[in-house]
Amino acid sequence: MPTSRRVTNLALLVSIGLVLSIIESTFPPLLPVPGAKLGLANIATVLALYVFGPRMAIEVTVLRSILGGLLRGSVVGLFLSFSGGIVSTLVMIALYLLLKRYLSIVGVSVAGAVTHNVVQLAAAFLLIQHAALFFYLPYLVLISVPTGLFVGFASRRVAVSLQGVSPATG
Amino acid sequence: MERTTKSVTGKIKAGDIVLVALVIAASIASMVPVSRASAGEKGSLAIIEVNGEEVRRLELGDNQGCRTLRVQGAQGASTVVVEYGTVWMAESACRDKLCVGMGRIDSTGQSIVCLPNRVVIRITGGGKPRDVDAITE
Amino acid sequence: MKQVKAILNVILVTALAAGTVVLVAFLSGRNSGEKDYRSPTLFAMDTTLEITIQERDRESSEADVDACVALVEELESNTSRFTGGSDVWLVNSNAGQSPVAVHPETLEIMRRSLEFSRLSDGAFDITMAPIAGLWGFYDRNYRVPTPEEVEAARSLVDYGQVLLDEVNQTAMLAQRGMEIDLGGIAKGYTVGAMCETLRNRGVKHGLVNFGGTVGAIGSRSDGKPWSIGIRDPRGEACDLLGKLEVEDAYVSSSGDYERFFTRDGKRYSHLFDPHTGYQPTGLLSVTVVGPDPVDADILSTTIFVLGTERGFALLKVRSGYEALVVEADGAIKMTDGMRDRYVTEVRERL
Repeated sequence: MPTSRRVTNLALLVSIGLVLSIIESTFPPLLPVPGAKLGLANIATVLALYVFGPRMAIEVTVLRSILGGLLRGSVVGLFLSFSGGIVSTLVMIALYLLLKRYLSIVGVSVAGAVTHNVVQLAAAFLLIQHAALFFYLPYLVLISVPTGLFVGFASRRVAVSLQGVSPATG
Repeated sequence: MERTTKSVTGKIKAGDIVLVALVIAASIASMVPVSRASAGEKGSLAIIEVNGEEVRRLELGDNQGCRTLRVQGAQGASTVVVEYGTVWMAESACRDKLCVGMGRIDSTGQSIVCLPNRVVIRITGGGKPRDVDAITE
Repeated sequence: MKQVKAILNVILVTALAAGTVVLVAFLSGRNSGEKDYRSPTLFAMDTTLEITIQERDRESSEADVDACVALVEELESNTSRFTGGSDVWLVNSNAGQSPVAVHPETLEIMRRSLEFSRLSDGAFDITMAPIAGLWGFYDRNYRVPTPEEVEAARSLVDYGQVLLDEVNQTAMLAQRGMEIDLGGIAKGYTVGAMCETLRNRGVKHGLVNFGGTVGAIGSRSDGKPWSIGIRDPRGEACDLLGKLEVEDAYVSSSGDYERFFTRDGKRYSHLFDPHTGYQPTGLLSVTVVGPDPVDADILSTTIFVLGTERGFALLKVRSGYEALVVEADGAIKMTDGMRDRYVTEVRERL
């Protein structure tokens, strides 16, 4: 893929992620945990992973976290979403590469959502040092199931439509 | 770059369902023990207020050891001691020392009030709900 | 293969449904929890004020509390004995000289007090201040006075010499040296005014605790009544002797543990029998539930003076009031209505 096309695709995915996280930030917080959110922006990462491959997924996540943090003007938010985002992306890549036979895009997306929330809570604990936060862990994990499923199905739909305009040939 | 689009059209696989089921099972199964663990700490936070303003919050876990804290009230210093999940007023610049005589508190919803010095210690948080909403006295 | 797929689908759907139900239940529970607001412990009228508001966003709740605080400050500036220029201060300093114009609220508090003085044959009396002062409850120089001193102070106690002029909105004490203290009932009046303000501002579920006089607005947001603990008069802070459940009602308590000093092993409290000038000894504490906070406050104080039997008889002058008392030997007694309607848990005796 020519570099210019790559950069364009990357920019597109990053902006999709940013727009989704801005839309998401208008929803009221689900739980009184810093950084807890639906994680719709993960659609961008999942798409990047399945349509363009692992490298693109990491690039999208890193750029999205940094730009998102800067947009919201919150260093703490940046730290939380960066840590959650990068670990969950790595987990998704691992599953995608190693367990492709057993897991579809939906399963990988659920795993990513769970990891994202767990890591983010751990990061929040590092900041706040209040053990009561872990009270929310089971609920956060549970929330990530419908989110992950939604992200998975949505990404699959988009990816299927994108097949006609496959990046390598299109 | 490898063409990967074929894999995305794949149907739901058995692993997906196993994964989702595992995650749901694990989170539901851990709810009771986790909430019990947080409720087991009697009250988790002691909030210290002076004249209606929160000045400090202290964690009250059993493993937090003994700590002493001095706050400046309306008439002078008050000394608050936190030890093994309980908190009490050890010294106060007030005249009546009723707050010192109020003893130790350890559960959510309890409080020690020093009226003259305008210092309040109250316990909040933890999984345990308040026993009563107010106390008539 | 098809069957396996079908089974897997059923499992997936069931798991999703279960997850959603638990999630929704949890989130709805959390949300009601987040909409609870409890004010910090505020200080006014020489006591503490705590306000709980449920089912409202934080900004509205904070504005509600600010409105209450403004109300308390205004009423305190009218009814405090110690604030120079307050209604009560003016009435006291012009005793035996001239009538003083007072705010309508002050006049109402005084009028209602006098009404109860007559109903209780003087067991309740706002002109008790000289006796409380003699025992050192105002300057906190506590002392046990001689019988002669008590007798002298008692001659200044007479609700019949409080002269109210409803037309000109004035009040006057007939004798020089007389003093009134509205401290006890101004608290109840303020709780009533705060609850009215909160209701007018749209609060549906609220609880005001002003120095132990509690006003309940509606029920709790979970539909259950508000749970009110009754302080154990001989226990430490937060030791309870029982619990009440109330909705849209006021609870007031009087007891010898609220303000007292100890001399030679004997406890001397701030509550006096106007007929003797000494502390009544029959009861340790009284709790009254009813539809009006001023009446509830006056009734609890008066029952403390009158004792169980005459006190419970006095309750009948108003409808809808119930009481619980702790007698000096630790026996707990209550009216039938109290037992049937409000008490959920109570010890047999101390």
